[in-house]
Amino acid sequence: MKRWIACATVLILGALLALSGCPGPQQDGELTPPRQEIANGEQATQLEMWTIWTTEPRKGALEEIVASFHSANPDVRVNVTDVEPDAYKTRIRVAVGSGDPPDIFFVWSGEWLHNFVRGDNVLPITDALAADGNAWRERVMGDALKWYTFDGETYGIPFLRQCTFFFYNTDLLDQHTDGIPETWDEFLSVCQALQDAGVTPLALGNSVKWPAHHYVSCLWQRMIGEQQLLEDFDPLGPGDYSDPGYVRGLEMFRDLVERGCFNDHPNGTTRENARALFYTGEAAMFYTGTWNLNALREGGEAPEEFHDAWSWFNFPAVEGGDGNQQALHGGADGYVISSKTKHPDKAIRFLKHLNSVESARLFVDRCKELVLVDGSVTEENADEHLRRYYQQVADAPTIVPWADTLMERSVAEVLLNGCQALIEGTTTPEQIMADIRKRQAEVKAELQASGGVDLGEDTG
Amino acid sequence: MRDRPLTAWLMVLPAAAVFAFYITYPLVHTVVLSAYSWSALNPVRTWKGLGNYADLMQDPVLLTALKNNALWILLSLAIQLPLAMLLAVGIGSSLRRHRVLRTVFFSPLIVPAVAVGLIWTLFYDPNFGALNALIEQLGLENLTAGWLGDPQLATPCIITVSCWRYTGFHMMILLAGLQAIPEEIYEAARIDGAGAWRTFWHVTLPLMKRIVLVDALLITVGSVKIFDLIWVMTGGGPNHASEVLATYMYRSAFSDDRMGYAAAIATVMLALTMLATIIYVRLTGREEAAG
Repeated sequence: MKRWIACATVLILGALLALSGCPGPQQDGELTPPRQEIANGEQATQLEMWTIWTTEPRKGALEEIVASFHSANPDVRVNVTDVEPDAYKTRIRVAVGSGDPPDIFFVWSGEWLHNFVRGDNVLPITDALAADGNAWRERVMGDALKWYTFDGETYGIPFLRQCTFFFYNTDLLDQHTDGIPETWDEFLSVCQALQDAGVTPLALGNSVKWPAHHYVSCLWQRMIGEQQLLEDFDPLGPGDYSDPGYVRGLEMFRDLVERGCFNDHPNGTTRENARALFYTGEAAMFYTGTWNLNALREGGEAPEEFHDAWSWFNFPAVEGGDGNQQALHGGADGYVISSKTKHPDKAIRFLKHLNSVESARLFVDRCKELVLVDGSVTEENADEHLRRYYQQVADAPTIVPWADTLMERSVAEVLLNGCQALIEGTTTPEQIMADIRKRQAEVKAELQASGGVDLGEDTG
Repeated sequence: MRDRPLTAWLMVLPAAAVFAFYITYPLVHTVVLSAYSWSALNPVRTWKGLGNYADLMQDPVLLTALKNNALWILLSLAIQLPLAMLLAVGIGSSLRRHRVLRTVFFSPLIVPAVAVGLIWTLFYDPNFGALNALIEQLGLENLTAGWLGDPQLATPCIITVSCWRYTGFHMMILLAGLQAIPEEIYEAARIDGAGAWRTFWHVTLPLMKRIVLVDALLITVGSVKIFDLIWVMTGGGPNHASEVLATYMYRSAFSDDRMGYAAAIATVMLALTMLATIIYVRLTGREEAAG
């Protein structure tokens, strides 16, 4: 008996091994065969592309876009490698730093991209965008390209737009409050009314420590204004975080904590569980990004009775603030071309295809996410939530990225940790700003000492 | 062989070359890198001398990390070693139920650290987690806490998970030591009228000294290097409260982009691990000289 089992086990394991050893069409995240002869016997140009879209439906949508590019451009093959986001952050830096980067790669906007640009690692595509009477540039929605532009040159294309809004439970707000708050004071009274009714006003899952900073980031934008923010955030810029709005913004966030507006223990709560607090009706509002749209709508993880019981409003205006009070807050993930690529024209050709209306519509249809191309969202490929969001992005006077994506990385860390400490009550707004100024001065000294870095010279 | 040192050296050469290339070179290189300030994206390295170490000395987070590593070592030794010993002695026989129990206690180790971290994060969750629910069911509402979100509790909470995960592994190591003790010695002790406690204290423990020391070293070095569970469960937070040297090194290198600073932290870790090893070698060396 025992021998039988042993024999069977060996056979099954052997069969499994043989099967797994078979060369399938898809291996190691490669979406297309690495090499392919084309009709006239010439070898197609190979372009390497790295992305963080490891899961469906984004992965499949990209596959389709690459396939349609191949059929229109038989002289180019795009080999896609997908890497899980956290691992990607390290891998792409090592690849770029070691001088062997992929031709096209994924970027997060803001300081993350700026860092690559400072090291002269990214190819400017300003001319290509301006060709044919600015056709490509005008296809990109709103002022998104502004955040891919440094010193007059544009590096790459913003592709996916994510914004943060106050998502709210329509039943709870109708029942207990006077309606959607438009100013910060109205917002505070909405919170108070909800608390009086025994409802937690705000869900916050801050274990990953950046969600809390979104409040601070938006308050800073409303009070200080994006121009001043950018001058302060740039480690080599003229600003020094002296605007009183910085401390004030942190105080206003602390005020929310002290009023007990958030669920218990935000620092111990994951983002997923904060979302659950919101869709189970435990909390009435949830300041979060549009990446949650798919979880809340039909087919998502939220219970069925909740599918029609939510909506969202923009961050309230702060009276007397210097910033644009109608601005949205968000980031734009996108793609850039390496400055080391041997085939800049072909890489640009692919980027243009990826950024075309057809590709964008296909992506929206498959993924239900907002692609930053005019006309990407239509009656056919999107539901009412996505269409409303698209319209808001199209109408927005400006969309300002979150502070942690604009600040130098180690300075941003100080802010994020400071917000966690503020929730615990172990620090003060003044202390956080003092720590930020100190770290910023250190970064500035290091950047100046290393020379060249800020000028983008390739001294290696 | 003694007469031909050249042959001896030649025979050691392959191993020495591998050692030099994979161990010595990276170690020395890390120490060298810690004298520079540089970013992964820019090839320019700026000489900083001992500047990174001077910054480290003034960094309050380093102090937190060192304290936490010390807590990790102390608590891991204090909990895992006695518990593993108890399990090894208690369920060390070849009885079927003991074999099953050993498998059960060992099994957490074969679950990937990331999965362990996520499961326990759910367990500790303040709003939906099992722990607070359990405490509330017992009517002890005022004992509920934010657990991983609480600066004081975060590290002990993760150490608990680590103990859950590794005690079975240390039980296996101690078990190997137990089985090496000849049965005759126990028989002799029995004939001399020693009870279970005296047998353990005067026979088992002295004969296990070596293996216990090895195991203690494993726990110590593991606690200095601990990274995965913390990274998954708190990321070193809140506000650096559960930071240890390894997480702070990773954060400095890959979040803050301060490669030289991270190399300096790595060098501190290297010094601490070497210190632990030297102490251990001394201890076992004395043992050998005495025995």
